[in-house]
Amino acid sequence: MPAATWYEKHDLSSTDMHPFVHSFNPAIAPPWEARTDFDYFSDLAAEFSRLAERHLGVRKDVVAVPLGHDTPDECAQPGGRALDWQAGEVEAIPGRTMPRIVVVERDYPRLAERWRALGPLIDELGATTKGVPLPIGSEVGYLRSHNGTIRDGIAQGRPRIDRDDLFCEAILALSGTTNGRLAVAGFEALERRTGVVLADLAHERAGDRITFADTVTQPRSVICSPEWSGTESERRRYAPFTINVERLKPWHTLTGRQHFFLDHEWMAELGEMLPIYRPPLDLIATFGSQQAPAARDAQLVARFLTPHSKWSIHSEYQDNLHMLNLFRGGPVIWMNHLDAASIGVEDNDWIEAFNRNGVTVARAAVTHRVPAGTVLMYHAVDRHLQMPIAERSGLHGGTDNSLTRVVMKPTHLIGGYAQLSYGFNYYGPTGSQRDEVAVIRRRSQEVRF
Amino acid sequence: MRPMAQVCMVMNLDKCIGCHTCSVTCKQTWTNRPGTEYVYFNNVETKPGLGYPARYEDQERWKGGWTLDRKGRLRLRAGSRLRKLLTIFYNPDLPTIEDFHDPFTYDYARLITAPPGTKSPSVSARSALTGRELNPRWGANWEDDLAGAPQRARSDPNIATMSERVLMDFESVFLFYLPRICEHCLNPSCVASCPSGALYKRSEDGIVLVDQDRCRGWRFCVSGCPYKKVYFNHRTGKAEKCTLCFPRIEAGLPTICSETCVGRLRYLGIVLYDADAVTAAAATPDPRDLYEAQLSVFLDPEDTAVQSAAEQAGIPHDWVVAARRSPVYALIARHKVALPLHPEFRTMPMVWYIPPLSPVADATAAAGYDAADPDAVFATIDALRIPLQYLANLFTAGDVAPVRDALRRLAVVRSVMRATQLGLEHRNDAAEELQMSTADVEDLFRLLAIARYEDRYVIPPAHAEDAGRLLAQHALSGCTLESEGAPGMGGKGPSTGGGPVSGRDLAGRLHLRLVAEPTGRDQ
Repeated sequence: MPAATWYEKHDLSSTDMHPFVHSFNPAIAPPWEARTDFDYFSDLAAEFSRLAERHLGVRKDVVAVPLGHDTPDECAQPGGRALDWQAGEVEAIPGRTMPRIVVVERDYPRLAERWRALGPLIDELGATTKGVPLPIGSEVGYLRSHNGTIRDGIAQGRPRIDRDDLFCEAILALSGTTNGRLAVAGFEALERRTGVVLADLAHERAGDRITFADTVTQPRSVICSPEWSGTESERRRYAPFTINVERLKPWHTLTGRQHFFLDHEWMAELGEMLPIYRPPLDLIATFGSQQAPAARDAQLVARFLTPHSKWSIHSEYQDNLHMLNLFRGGPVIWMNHLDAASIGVEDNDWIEAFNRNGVTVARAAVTHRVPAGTVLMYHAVDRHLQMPIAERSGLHGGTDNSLTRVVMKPTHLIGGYAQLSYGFNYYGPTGSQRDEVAVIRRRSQEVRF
Repeated sequence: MRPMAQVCMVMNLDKCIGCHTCSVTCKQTWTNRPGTEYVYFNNVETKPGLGYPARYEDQERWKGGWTLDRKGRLRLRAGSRLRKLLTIFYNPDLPTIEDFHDPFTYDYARLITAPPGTKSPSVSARSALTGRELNPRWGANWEDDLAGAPQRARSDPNIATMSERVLMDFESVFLFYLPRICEHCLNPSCVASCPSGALYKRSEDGIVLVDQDRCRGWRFCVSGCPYKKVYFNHRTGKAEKCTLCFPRIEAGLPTICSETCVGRLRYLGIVLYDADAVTAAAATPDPRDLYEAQLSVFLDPEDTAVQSAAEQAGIPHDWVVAARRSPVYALIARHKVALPLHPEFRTMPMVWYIPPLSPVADATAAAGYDAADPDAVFATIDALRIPLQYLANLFTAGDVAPVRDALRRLAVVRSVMRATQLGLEHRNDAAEELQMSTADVEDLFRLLAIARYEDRYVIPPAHAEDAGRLLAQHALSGCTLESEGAPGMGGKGPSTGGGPVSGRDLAGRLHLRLVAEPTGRDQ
């Protein structure tokens, strides 16, 4: 299903890199068979619900929920001792020595109906970001009158969010960064919790309400809100953590301060209680040089790095006809000229890079800009253009990621201990796969596609 | 004095990040059609490198631009009209498609029509000219970020003439990006090379254009331009070149390359110059004096004598006001941080460059010194012969002194402003040595660091009430620059009397058709 791009649909964009909220607006309708992702979700939900009537019905799922940051769960492991209930070291208590166990009712046949409306739970629970409750009140009524209401079914009378622009309107109404009333209310809640004066940060824009129509006219400067950590005003541009530093709001850590000392026992075990330098993993020692033992050709074993490309996002902005004509027309691996000479490679030669994970074929971009012993293959180009069949696999060559594999660090699995607790998209197990070793060799210059 | 106005560009190379947005938006706007696949009115080169087309800067090979004859008069390097006539059906100085590049596309349809079960179909490049399978070996930006440089960059004409050996190793790497458009020269050799009188320089704003109706496709403009910024459209059989986006300029808007520049490194503004002084300046004997000679052609818009002479010459009052606000004049003449590209070609180019300080600052930091300390930077500027000589070969015909002074001024601005921002003590001796007042430093800082859109582009719109007259006159007169004694002809010295005070009466504003009607054979 081809999805519309951001010049073909309504959406919002806002990041912590700049203090503005932008809208996406369709310059043209999605071409050919493309539809917006919002439309796809909507259609899929409807069809799924129709099928669920017969196949799934209403079910209850048992879900293990990680011990969350900014919740009482983050006090679950006092002293940073991670006792294992499976080994009998401690009693298994959900929410303390193991994840919370939650029963969730899934009303599959009504998924589409629910998806179309702002549900009732927001009335009683409000919205919470980083442990700060935003008391939602008049906003629901505002959305009712602005977006209209659902006329029938379980969502009857609730505000509609069944169109992309209406959904955007709901997001803007329910965030302190675009709704001054909520920003002030959120800071007041934070004042009660922390004992420091904060609400004045949002007072200058207490009455502001940024609507979707406003963002269509031009990007709008956001309102200073407890959802972020920086101050933002006429006099001050957003910078992270200025509320913590200048207004003494406690940090979301074990001590409420910035601290570099982590006393979790796993940190102690790995010798990382204080920040230290760790060299890249010696993957050759771990996995061997990976050279083909009876290779006839000269081979180079090098660090294989896959950094993000220059001024593009993956294939976007680089794999178009203009930009392909403005470089080499397909994937390249950058390598130092001394490395290249050692295996008889000249600039623009076809080479293969392989290791225990996979193989890729590319042109060599030979340069003195890259140090010897390291090759670079930018992440991640189109794999359907100028991608010949690899000699090693007999298949169409892979990409930069054919040679990489996630290597997880044990300390990233620490949970339930203050700032070392799970936060969606913020903290959790992460993989490091951008530092590999690969064998490079010059391949036959006859290529097939 | 015969004052004329020219729209001129300055690019600050420290800010170019090599994103090629300018090339792409220019191509989308002007040359995204059959016949112009290989044409880049705007391109960005990684330096050191051969550029586009390969080694275009080597005039021993391409015979572009002007040279002086034994009597010190300007002559086209390509030779006399007689030589042109003899070579009119085979011009040996013409770059081939190999020197540019064989543009390519892909058989995209095969990705969709590949039979079911094809594992990850892939398509290879095909020539956009012949449709045949193509193995790309060279291109409009083949050397991006020094790709292939150890093998090739020593053939960069700016390196080839250097006495120092340039090391191509990781420890001494330096690079910068050089965005290039047509120079819209004061003494354009393309105009003088055209046997058909199709190229002309508009007298009201100096933009050099090709009259598509007059062009007969002889291509002497292509070989005559030392910057290789006139291209041949193989479909229409006509020459095409950067138009400085004149429809936008006439409306007071910046060119597309400037408008879309991510680094905001481009500046556009008016420079007033003395048209009578151009030819003599271009004939300055020592190429190293050409930079100063060109500066001497520019007129100070703050000079009341210049102002009244300009208005008498028919330059509108608001254009004179714009010339006084011109960021380009300030960077070129007032602060002397911008330099011309290859003045030794003697075409008097009008797109100037602020040389990059970053190779020097990087070397200063790499040597363990504070890159914001002017003493350390000054010492590095002098010690680093290689980037300095290289920049001088690009911008001042090899004379390092103006480059060094420009880099020092940039270093002073950085250190003074850094000290001011951080509330640190700073000494003024460096600024004094360069004769920069506190106001100069602040003005330059504002221009370089915080200039907004309306400060970077000071472009007075064309005068609509003149349009009819200019258009009507054009058909009769062609371009003033090809009349006797005009800068485009060269070699005859300044004209004396007889002609109009300014070229405005004879000039034309032609609504240029860039796309000729397709012929039957193309259909």
